[in-house]
Amino acid sequence: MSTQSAGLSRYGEEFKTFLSETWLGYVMVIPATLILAVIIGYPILRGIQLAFYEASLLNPEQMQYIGLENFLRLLEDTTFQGALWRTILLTGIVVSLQYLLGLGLALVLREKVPGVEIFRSLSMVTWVIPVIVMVIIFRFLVQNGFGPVNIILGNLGMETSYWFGQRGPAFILVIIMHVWRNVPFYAIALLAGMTAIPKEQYEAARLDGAGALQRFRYVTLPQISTVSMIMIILHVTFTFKNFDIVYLSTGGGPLGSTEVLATYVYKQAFEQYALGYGASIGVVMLIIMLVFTVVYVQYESAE
Amino acid sequence: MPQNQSGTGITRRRMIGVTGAGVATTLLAGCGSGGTAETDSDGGTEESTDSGGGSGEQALMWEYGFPNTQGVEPVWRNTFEAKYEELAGEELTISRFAYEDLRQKFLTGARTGDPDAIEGTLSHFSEYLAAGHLAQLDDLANELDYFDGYIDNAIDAMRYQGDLYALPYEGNARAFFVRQDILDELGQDIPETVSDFHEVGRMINEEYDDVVAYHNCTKDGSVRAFQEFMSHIYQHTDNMYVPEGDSWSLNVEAETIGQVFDNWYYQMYAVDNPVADPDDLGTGWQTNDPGYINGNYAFIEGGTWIRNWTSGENINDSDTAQDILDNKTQIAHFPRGEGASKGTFLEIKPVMANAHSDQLEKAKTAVQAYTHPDVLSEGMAQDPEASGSAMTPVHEDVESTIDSENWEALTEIFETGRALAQVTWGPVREEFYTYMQQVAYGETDPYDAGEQFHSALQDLESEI
Repeated sequence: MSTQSAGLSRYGEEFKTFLSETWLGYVMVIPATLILAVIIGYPILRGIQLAFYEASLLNPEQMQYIGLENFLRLLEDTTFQGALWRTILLTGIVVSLQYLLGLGLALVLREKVPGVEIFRSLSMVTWVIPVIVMVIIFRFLVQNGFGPVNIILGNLGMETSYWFGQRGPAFILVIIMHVWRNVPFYAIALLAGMTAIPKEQYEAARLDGAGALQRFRYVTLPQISTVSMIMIILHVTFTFKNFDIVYLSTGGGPLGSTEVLATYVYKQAFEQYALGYGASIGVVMLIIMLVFTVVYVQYESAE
Repeated sequence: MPQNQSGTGITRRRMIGVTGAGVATTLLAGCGSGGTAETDSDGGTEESTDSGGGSGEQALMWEYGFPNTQGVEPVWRNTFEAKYEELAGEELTISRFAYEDLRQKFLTGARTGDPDAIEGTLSHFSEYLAAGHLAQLDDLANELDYFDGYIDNAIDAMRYQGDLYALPYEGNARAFFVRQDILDELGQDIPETVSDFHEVGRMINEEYDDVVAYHNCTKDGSVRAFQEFMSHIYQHTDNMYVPEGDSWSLNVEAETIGQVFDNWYYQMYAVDNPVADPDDLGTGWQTNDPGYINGNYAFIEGGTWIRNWTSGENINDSDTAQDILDNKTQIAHFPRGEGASKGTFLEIKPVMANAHSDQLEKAKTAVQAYTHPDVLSEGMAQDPEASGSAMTPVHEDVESTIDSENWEALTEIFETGRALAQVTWGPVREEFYTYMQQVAYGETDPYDAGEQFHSALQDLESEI
């Protein structure tokens, strides 16, 4: 009995010490936590809840609980399946290209080439211009008749068209826009990572007889892995849920060939007024992104 | 030490992982990234704003009707503000949104009571009505001594089951824009039948290297494309859907839809000798309107907003544009297919009061001021950036701004216009884009697509 009271008293003491040492920290975290709970937590929970209801945008108060029916409907929805496949394909291709090109650009920017400072400043232009401006530029470039791309193709005796209106090319153009927009951001982030690597490490590697490729493989790459991971996670998420690039350029067409999950959610929620069904697609997107993030982080941690 | 480093690294990575997961979860907080920066209705300026909250006791109005050209005096908007101040004895706050943003924000946020009044399009009107966001305005109408001056077509479009929910301020009917100079050169008359139109169109394509006979909108999600389609449906029927009890009943035959698909999409793009340019497939008003104004097309389907569009980033040469619109354009009824008569899509722009507003009287005053004949004649008609909007006025006290003989036909065409029924059109539009593109891209026979679309439209009868 006395041993038990001694044990309890010890836990009590430890709890008091824990509180006395950390209460200030908790107090300081509470406001931010509350704000996050309201502006992020509530919409997420509300979205998840909606996925289990039949709810109309026009009469959202008249919700009817339907369990997993929305998710079962997704299994038979060929438009959803097509959009899911295109979203995964788009994300895979875009993030791979962005990373590879961004890495290449970062390596170039690291070198002391004449004019690199100007180029470094200019390279961020694509990232800062609004998406609508980018889409208008690309639309102009491939405009039928007078778009510069078509003028060049025409002069080369090749086929011309409004390429956003052609099935295969429209999807490729969406990929190009994503890549064009974000490569500089990758480059600047990776460059920051590279600049932080001590020069002595390269010197040591050189003394050990490492060539340029080996120095890149065993010195540069491992030390930009954290920034790489952040960039990849952020851009996988960004591309996976991106709406405006596709919606403004093709609207998901032609013939659904550029329809992605984000545009499909929009159409379900705002054109078909099917809030619940749209939310169920959002839940699927959330699960996929969570799984990706967890697996990727685990993989990186193991590495 | 290495162990510690490793441990720290993993912890950091885990933190990043959690952050990444957090970012991923924002998926559910909305798939967009701010406002849609471009509207796809009638053309014109593209803009969105993220502001728009209320400001104390002043009434708040959301709108996209006033011109917004930088550096130009906003004559119409100033006239409206002065009229509101005269009627309400105070100022009001105006927030400008692109129509698509305005619609989304109002559908999702009207219950908060903001904005008090809103301007929009007829398809928005149906949606807001179905959502229960609109206040009845019969009492306001009874107080207006000029109410009887609104044209019947326009007021009918503002009613649902006999009750008034909006007042109109602008109207335009879709018309056939014809390059008369090209027809004169070819010794041809304006085609009155679809078969004549196809024949003349193919002749133009053969004779001219730098002009394509026709263009219409075929972009997925283009509201304008749907309006063009409806123009041709209205050549066959007064209403696509008619009320039947508490529901709606489809009022058009599958054969008719097939014929419209054939005449205006299949023959245009998918046949061996198309009237339009298949390389223009997938484009919207951004190609259509400037394309005509720049002289690239001989025929398009347009409206009054094109009248003064002679400058801006889409216009290659202002003098050429002016010449085309002033001297070379003839407005006409659309060519008619078999069994069709004169008819077209009638766009009536409504101004509405939010039923959830806690200052409903001010909201109604805003509606009154926006649609007041004085504001329409002294503001809209006098504003150089908007005078086209008053070419076919919705009130008899407002004089038409048609200043060219070639454009006078707009008045008669306006009278043949049919406004959209108070149906929630979103699901109908979504079905339309699928079948229209299948036909235009030559994937489906137009009459088969007509059958399938008809069947889909019937399935929607109880949902819209």
